[in-house]
Amino acid sequence: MKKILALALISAVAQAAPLNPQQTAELIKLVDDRQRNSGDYQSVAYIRETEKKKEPKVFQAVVYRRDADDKFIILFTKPKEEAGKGYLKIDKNLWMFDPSTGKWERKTEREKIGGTNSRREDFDESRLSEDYDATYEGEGELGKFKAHKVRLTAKAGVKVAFENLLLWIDQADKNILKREESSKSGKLMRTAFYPRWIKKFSSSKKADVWIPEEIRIFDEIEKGNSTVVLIKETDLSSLDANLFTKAWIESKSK
Amino acid sequence: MKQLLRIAFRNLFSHRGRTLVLGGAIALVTTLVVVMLALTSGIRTRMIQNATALSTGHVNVGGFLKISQSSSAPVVNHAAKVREVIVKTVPEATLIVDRVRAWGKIISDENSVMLPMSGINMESERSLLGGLSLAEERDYIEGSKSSAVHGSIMELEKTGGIVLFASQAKKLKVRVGDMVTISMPTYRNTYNTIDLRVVAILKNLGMISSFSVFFHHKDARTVYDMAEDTTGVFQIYLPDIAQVPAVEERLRQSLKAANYALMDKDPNPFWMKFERVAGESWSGQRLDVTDWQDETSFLKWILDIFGALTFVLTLTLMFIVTIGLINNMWMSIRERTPEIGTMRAIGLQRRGVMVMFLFESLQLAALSVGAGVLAGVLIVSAVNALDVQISSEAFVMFLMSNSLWLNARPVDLAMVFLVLTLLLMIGAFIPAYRASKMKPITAINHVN
Repeated sequence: MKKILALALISAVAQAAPLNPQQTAELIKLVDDRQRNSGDYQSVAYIRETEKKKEPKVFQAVVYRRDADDKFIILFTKPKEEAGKGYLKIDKNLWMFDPSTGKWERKTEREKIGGTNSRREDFDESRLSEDYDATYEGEGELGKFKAHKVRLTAKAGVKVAFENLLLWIDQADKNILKREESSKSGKLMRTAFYPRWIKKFSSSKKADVWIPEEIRIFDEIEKGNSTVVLIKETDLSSLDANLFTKAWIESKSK
Repeated sequence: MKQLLRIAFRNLFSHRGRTLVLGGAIALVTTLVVVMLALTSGIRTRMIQNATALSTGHVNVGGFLKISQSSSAPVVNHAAKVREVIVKTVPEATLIVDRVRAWGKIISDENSVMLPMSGINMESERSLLGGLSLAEERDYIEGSKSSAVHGSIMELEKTGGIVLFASQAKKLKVRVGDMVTISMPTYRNTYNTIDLRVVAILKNLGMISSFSVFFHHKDARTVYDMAEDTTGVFQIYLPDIAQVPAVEERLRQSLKAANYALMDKDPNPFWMKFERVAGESWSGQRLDVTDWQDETSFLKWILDIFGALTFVLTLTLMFIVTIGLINNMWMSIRERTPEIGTMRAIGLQRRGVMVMFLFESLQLAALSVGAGVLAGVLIVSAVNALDVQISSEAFVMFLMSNSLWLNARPVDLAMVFLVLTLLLMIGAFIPAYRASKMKPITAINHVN
């Protein structure tokens, strides 16, 4: 109850004035908390990849998460040639299974999922407050939305794909509206827009969980390349205990 | 024996027409074999020259640094100490240079391409790279007929520049002076970028140049987020390429003795090892000792194709020519059956008859193959003297050179002469043996 009141207070203050460092850190924690689900998670993701001078490609995948254990699966189901390809994150390692070779390969954090411009963290639990230090940059407007602009810099020793982020957080509902990702040198590499959020009640969290239903990612270096991720059929009920194993993914690719 | 030699020669001479046709065919086949071998050898020599200038030393000490199990960065830590071991172990080295290795995406306004890149110190690499030719505008600008060249590779003495080859510039649609962005993960797996200006575009040198891009070692360290005392690879150049296996083994022993962990031998270039290394469960630093052949293994198939083509062509033509020779021998034996009978009757032994026919075949084979080798050498010399320029990109890619260059090595010529002569002799053995088995009375009474 105290926590809710504190968050409500931060929310009220945040709407009124620029945030101090502590409020900024609390805001980022709030952004994480709103998206976090202490239990299991399942959804269907549709990924549309558009590359300059190429025909767009559409992928369909199923995403499974067990946030309490930091486990994660993306299993591609369409198109036919990608079906069975799977990513599994266990013990802080990201593995990829290629059904054409029947082999597992260890992948890095920066791995582009299925060769698209989407990354593991686009589908995974939000950990911004754990991975980044936040600095308040000011207020801004994004269309009809009033937003807090918060600069995030990777904490020392933390493995992230992008060291610098600039978030535009909706002042009203504290969801991310826009996310600019820059390289270590400061060059803008990706801009992601989050035009639609939905909330689902989580029985394990005993509260609502906010899920970005649509993410539009634009490649800022290779202008003209973009990715649209649609997250549908989200289900927060418990998953099979033995789901997050290599054997399970292999069985699904047969 | 001299008598038999003379008889064999006179017989060849008396059937001049037949001898010339068959001898000509043998000479032609030999010439083809010599030219094909010279072409393969030329490609191999060019490949060594280009590869050792662009992407590898004769022997290399590179390595991977894994700060976590899932990472793999082509980094050698504490480079000064590693260099010390190399200098002590290979005192005969003519040159040791170190390069920062990188694998990333080069992005222009029009296109992007993933490539292995080398961060170089131009001052120490002047002798290796200084002689590379600049590409003409028509080599990389679609539709251009201009032979103008721009920029200079020596601009890499300063930071902020990048040197591309014509095929890469054409794909990226860039010219000298244009800006490109390099995007790659640092060795800590975080994305980083650097903007560089194209300071020179070089002439293509076959497929290997498609996998070579140069920029300043300081820029490479910046984008890779590497410390000063780190590098990517030490490239070691030897006075004689035949020393490579011995030096490689010596280096392995010395580095092991100096407590460096070594990677298992994997005959592939460094940029083909990222996934494998990332998948291995060790972390920390491991050094990788390779030779020029390992680093150019992705080009080996070209040599294999030419080698296989030469082999199949030689075998097919040799089969046809040997059948021709056997047929020629049968005709000769048939025509000379009464003569064989007479010679046997006046005391020539069976072995003498066989030797006589083998001499005939030997003379024909040696003269024809010799002439073929000579013709082959003349053709090779003429082609090299003409300095035939290759305009087709596909041919440049396969031949590893902008001009047709053939290399007729004396050892290849000697081998062609001996092997082809021996094969033809073997082909002649059966008819000669059959001729020696004739009974004198049957042979004398033989009516043609």
